Amino acid sequence: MQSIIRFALENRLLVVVLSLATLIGGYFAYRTLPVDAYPDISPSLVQVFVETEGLAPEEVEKYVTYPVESAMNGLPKLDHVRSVSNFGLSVVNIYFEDGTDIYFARQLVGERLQVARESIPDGFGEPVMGPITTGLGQILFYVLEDTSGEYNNTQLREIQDWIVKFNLQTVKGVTEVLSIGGEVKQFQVRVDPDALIRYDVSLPQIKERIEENNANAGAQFIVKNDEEYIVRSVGLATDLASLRNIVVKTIDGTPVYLEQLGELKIGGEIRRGLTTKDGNGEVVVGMVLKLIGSNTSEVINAVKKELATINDNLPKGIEVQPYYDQATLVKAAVSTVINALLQGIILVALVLLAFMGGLRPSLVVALSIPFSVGFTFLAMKFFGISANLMSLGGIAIAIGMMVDGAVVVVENVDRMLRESSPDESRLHIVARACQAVARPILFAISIIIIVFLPLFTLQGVEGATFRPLAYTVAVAMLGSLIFALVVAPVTSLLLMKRPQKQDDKPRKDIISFLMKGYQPMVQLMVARRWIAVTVAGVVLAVGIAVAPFLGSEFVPRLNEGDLLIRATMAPSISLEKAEDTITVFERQLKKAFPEVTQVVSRIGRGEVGAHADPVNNAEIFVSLKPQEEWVSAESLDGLYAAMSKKFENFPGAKFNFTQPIAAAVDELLTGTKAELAAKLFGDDLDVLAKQAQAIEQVMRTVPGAQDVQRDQIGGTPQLRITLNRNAIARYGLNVSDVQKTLSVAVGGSEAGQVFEGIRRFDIYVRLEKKSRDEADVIRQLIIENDAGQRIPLEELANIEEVVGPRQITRENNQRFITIQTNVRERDIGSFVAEADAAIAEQVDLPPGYFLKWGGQFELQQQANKRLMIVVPITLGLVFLMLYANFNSLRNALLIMLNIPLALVGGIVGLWLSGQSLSVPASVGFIALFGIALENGLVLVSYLNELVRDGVPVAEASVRAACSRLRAVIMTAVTTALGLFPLLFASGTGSEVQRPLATVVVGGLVTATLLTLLVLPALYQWFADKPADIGASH
Amino acid sequence: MKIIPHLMATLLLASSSTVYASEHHEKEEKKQHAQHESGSPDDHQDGHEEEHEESHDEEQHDKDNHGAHKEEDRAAENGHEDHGKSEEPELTFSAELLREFGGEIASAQAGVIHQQVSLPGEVRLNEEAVAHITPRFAAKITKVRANIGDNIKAGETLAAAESSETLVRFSLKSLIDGVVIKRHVATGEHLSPDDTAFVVADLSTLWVDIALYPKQIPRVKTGQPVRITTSHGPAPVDARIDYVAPLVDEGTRTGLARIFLTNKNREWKPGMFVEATITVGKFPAAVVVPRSAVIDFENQPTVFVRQGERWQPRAVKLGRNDSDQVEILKGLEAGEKYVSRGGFVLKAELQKSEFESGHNH
Repeated sequence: MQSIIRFALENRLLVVVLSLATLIGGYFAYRTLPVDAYPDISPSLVQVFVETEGLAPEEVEKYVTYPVESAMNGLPKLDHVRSVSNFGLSVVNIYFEDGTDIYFARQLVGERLQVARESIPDGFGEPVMGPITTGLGQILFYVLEDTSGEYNNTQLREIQDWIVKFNLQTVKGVTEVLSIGGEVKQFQVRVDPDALIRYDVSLPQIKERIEENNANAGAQFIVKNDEEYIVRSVGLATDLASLRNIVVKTIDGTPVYLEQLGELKIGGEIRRGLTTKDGNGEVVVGMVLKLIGSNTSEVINAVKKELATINDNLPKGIEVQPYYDQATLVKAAVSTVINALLQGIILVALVLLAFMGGLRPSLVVALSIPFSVGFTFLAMKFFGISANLMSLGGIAIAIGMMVDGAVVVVENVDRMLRESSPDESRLHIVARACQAVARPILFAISIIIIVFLPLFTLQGVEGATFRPLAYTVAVAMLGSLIFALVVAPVTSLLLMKRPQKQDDKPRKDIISFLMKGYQPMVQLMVARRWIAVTVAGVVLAVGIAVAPFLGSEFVPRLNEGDLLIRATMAPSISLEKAEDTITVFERQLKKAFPEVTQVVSRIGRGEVGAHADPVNNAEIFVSLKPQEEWVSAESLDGLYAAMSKKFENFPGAKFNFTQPIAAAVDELLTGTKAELAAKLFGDDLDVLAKQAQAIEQVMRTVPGAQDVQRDQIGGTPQLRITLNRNAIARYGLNVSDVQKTLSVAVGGSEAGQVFEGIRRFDIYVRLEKKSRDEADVIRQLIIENDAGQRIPLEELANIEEVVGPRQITRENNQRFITIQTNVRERDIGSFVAEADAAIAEQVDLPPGYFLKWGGQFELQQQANKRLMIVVPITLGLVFLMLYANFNSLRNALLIMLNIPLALVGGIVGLWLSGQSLSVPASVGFIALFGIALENGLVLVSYLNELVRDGVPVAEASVRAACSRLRAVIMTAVTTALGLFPLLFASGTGSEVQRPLATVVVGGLVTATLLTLLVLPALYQWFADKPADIGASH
Repeated sequence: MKIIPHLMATLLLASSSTVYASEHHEKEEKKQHAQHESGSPDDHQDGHEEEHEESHDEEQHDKDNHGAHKEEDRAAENGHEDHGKSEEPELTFSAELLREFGGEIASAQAGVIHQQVSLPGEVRLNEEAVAHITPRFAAKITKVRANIGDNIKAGETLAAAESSETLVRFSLKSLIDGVVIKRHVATGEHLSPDDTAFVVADLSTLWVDIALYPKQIPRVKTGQPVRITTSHGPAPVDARIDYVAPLVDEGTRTGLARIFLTNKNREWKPGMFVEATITVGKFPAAVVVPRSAVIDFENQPTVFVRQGERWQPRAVKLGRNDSDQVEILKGLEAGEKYVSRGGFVLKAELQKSEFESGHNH
C-alpha cells in the first residue's frame, strides 16, 4: 500500500493523465450509455406464439401447445416452461435461468422449434418467437387520426400496415411494430349454400379453383434476333373483377363463374381485438417495440423523426399521433436522479468548504466526486449497465460517501502540513500523511463495499431492481478508494500549500463552535459511563418501541406519470359487446373527469407479439392534463382512488388501475401475486375444477386464510358438435369430410392472395353470414357424400351448447389450476403445514393429481435462506476486516456495536416521515451499516493511536473524540447532505429512493451521535491493554 | 450477535416481493358466490324436458306437469328468492343504464309460436299437365307448324304428317292448352308411333318439390302453410303442402313434399331453386319471449325479471321455440317486466366477482 502511494507520487504526470482520461472517458461513457427509466426487471424469457385459426382451447393445447412445450424439454439453463392455450392462440413462455443471454436462449428455442414444427399438424399454425424485447420495450404507441372522415377502418388499417408500420420497422432499434384496430383488408368470397346445391359444387372445389386461377409463372427466355426475351406469364388476380370471372365449373359448355356462387366483397379479416378512442368508436393503433438493450431515448427520437416524415407523406387528412411514449418518463426519471446528483454534489462541496476551512483542500476532496462518478460510468459502459433510476440512484447515494476517503486523506495532509517542520519536503509530508491513513481508508471503504454484498444475492424482481444500485454504489466506492489512495496524494501535493504560520490561534469555523458544546459533554460521558450506557439503552428502547408501528409494504410503486386501466369483462363476452362496454366507459370517464384529455383503449389482441389478451380484457390508456389543472384530485393516487370509486359499480366490468410499464412487466412475470398459492396438477379439467373447489373450501376453514380464490378456468360457451360415427358410416362419409366442410363453411378458409403491388391481401372463402352465424343454421349445414346425397349436419352429429374451458394453463408439461390465498396473523410455514394436512385428510385426490405449494412465500423462503447465509457471512467478513485492521477482537466488537444503534435512527426516521418498511428501506439499512462502521473505525483508530502513545485511556477518549469530531461530523454530514435531494425530491422515481435516503439520514443521526458520545465512553471497556496495542504494531 | 443477521434478513424481506406490483389488489367478496351453490334450482330439470319435446297433447301435458311438480316448484321458487337476495346490491340497474348498454325491457305476453322448417326445393313441371304428342302411324312430317315456346290451345295443329304406308295425310294436334316445350321433329323426318314429336306443358300450375331430410319427414304434413322464396326471381308466395310422398328416395334417403303452385303470370320457371319455409306447427302459448331474452346462466336458461328495484335472474323452463321466439313454461308470468335484449350485462355483473383481475396466466 505504501508502495502504491509512493509510486503515485513519483509518477505524478501519469496519475494526472489517467485521472483526466477517467473524467473524459466517464463523460463520454455517460453520453453513450443506454438510458432507461428503470432497470429492466423482465425475466430471461422467450415467448413462442402460435396462431391457430378457430381452434378451441382443448385442441390448441393438444395439437399445438404440447408439441412446442415438449420440444423445449431439457434445454440447457432452462428454468421452467409455462403455457396458455387460448381460443385460437397458444402462448408458450420458456423461462431461462436469471442472467441467461437472451440471444443464446432464442437460438436454443429456435433450434427446437424445428422439431415442434414437424409435430404440429398441417394448417394448425406456425410457431413464431415473440419480439426481441422486454417489458420495458413498449416505447411508443400511436393512433392514426382521420380528420377528413373519408377513410373507413379497412383503409386506415391498410395505411397503417403498408405505409406507417412499413417505414417504422426500418428505424434502428425498433424490433417490431404491431398493428391493432381497424379491419385487415381481405377479398371475401361469401358463398351462398343454395348456389352450391344449384350448381353442384363444393366449398373445397371453389377454394381449389381460386388457387388454380391466380398465379404468375416464368418460362425462361427466347432468343429473338440475338436478343434474349424473358417469357413471363401473368395470371394473378389483381382485383375483385378478376376474381369474379374465375370459372368454377362448366355445365354443358356453360361456365359457372365464381360470382354466381355468392357475393365477392372486400371485407375485414376475422379479428380478436380492436381499439377505440374517446368514446367515439374505433380507431387504428400501432405499437412500437424496441430491441432489447437499445437506447430508449435514442430509439424514441428516431421513431418520432421518422413519424414526422411519414406524416408528410400520408394522404391528406390522416395523421399519426403518438398517445403514449416513454420519452417523458425516461427523461423525468433520469432528471430526478441527475438533479439529486447535482444538488448532492453542490451541497457536499459547500459542506467541504465550510468544514475543511480552505479552498484548496476542499477542491482536492471535491475532485473525488467527478473522478468516482466518471469511473462508475466507465464501468457501467464496460459491463453494459444502462443508466436508469436505480443505477444513477446508486451514484446519488454514494455521492456523500465518495468524499469520505479523500476527506480523511486531505485532513491528515492538512494537519501534517500544519504540524510539520519547515525542513521536511512537501512530497515527504504528503507521502507520510497519506500512508498513515491508507490502511483505515482501505478497510473503511472495503467494508462499505462488502455490506452491499447481500444485495447481489437478491433474485428475481428485487434482484433485478436493486442489483444495478448495489453495483454502482460498489463501483463508485471503489473509484473513491482509488482516488483516495492514488489520486488524492498527487492532487494534494499539487494543490495544497503549507499553511502560513497562523496556527496558534484556534481556527474559527463550525467545528470549533461545535466543539464548545461537545467537549464538556464527552468529558461527562467518559467520566460517568452509566450515562452513556443509559443513553444507548434508551435509544435502543425507543427503536424497539417504534419498530412495531412501522407498516410494511412492497416496494413503493414507481410513478410512471401515465395511467393505464385494465378492464376485465365476462369471459364469454363478444368483441362487439366488449367494444360497446368500453365505449360507454370511455364516455363516462371523459365526462366525469375533466382532467382526462384522451382515452385510447385496446380490447383483446392485435397482431401477435406483445399481448395475448382474450377479447374480455381491455387496456385503457388515459392521457391527463398537467397536474396543476386537475379538479377531481390532487395527486395521481387520489385520482386513482376517485376513478376506482366512480367505476366500482360499472356494469359488467372490473377495473384495475395501474401503469403501462408495470402492466407490461406484470404480463411477463408469471406466478401469483398472492402470498401463497396451491397449484393442483392433473389431467382432467373437470376433475381439476372439482377438486380445486374442494380444496378451496378446506382452505377457507384453516385459521389465518384470507382472500382465498381459485382460478376460473371455465366460462366460455361452446357449440359442441359431436360426430355420430354410425351415422357418418351409414352415409359413406369420413369424419374429416364433415369437419372440412364445417371448418370451411363456418370458419372459412384462405384461398391464396391478391397482390396490389407489394401489398398482399388474403382471399377468404366462407359461407355468407346468414348461413353460418346461428346454431340452428349450422344444424342445417349440408354435407354431400360421393353418392351425391345431401345430408344436413344434424343428421350426422349431436350439436349442443356447453360451457368449455376459457383457457388451459400448463406448467412443465402438466395442466394445473391455482388456489391462492393470503395469510394473516400467523406465519406461512405453519399455515402450509396445517392446510396441507387438512387437505390430505378431507380431499381425496385421484391418482395422478397432486398439490404443490408456491407463491411469494416460496420466493421469500428461498431468499430468506440465501440471506440467512449471506448476511452472516457479510458480517463475518466485516468483522474480519475490522479485526485485521485493529488486530483486536474487542475493538472490532466495539465498532460492530454501532450497527444496532444506527438501526434505531433509520427506524425512527421512517416512522417520523410516515413511511413503511420496504425493500428500498432495507437497502438503506444495509448502506447505513457500512457508513456507521466507518465512523466508528475512524474514531477507534485514532483512540488506539493515542493509547499506544501512552495517553491514559480516559483522557485519550476525550482527546480522540474531540480531534476526530471534524472527520466524523464531516463524513456524516456529507453523506447525509448527499442524500438530502433524494429525501425531498418529488419527481418521477423519487418514491423509490426516498425510503432509502430516509433510513440512511435517520440512521446517520443516531449513529453519529452515539459514535461521538457513547463510543468514547465505552472504549475503556473494550480497549486492549496498551501493551497489546503496542505489540500489535 | 446472532440477532443482526436475523434483523437484516427480516428487514430485507419483511417487505420484499414484486416491485411493480399494482396496488389495487382486488379483494372481492367471494362469499356471495359460495351461497349460490345451495340455492341453485337443480330440481327444475328433472323429467321436464323429454315430456315436452314431442308432446302432442298440450293440455294434458300441462296438467300433468303442474300437478306433479307443484311441490318442487315451490322449492325452486324459494331457491330463486335466496338467489336473488344474495345478489341484491349488484342488480339494481336503472332502466336508462340498461338501455345505455343496449338493453331492452318488455312485459311478458301470451303469443303464438310458429315452428318452421326451411328447406331447399325445386320448381318442376307439373307432370300431370304435360302432353306428349306422337304420330298415330309411322309417318313422314310434311310441315311443322309449331315452334318451341308457342302457346297452343287444345286441338291446335302442331304439324302435318303423311302416313308412310297409306300415304294418308293427317295432322298432329295438341291434346291440352299449353306451351310447346320440346320439339323433336323437322320437316321431312320419319317418325314411328313411339317417337315423341312435341311436348306441350301447361305452365299455369307447377310443382315445387321439397326434399325432406330424415328429421323433417315426420313433421311435414299435407295442408301445412308454406312460404316459397327465391333469391333472384318472383316475389315470395304463400301456399300449402299439397302432397307428401309415402316413400323415401332410396338414393338420397330424403322424403318428398310437393306444392301445386299456380303460375298465372308464368313468373316461376321449372328448374328454379327455391327455399320453402314450412310452418310445421302453430302453438299458442301463455308466455312468449324473444329468444334474445333467454341467457344461459350457471347452466340454466335464465330470464332477468324486474322485481321492485332490482333484476332477478330467474331460471326458466323453456317450451317450444321458433326462429325468434320461445315459450316460457315456468318462471315468468304474463305481465311481468323482463329484459328482452341485452341481458348479458346483468349476467356479467353477477359473474363480476369471479373475473380474474385481468391476466392470462
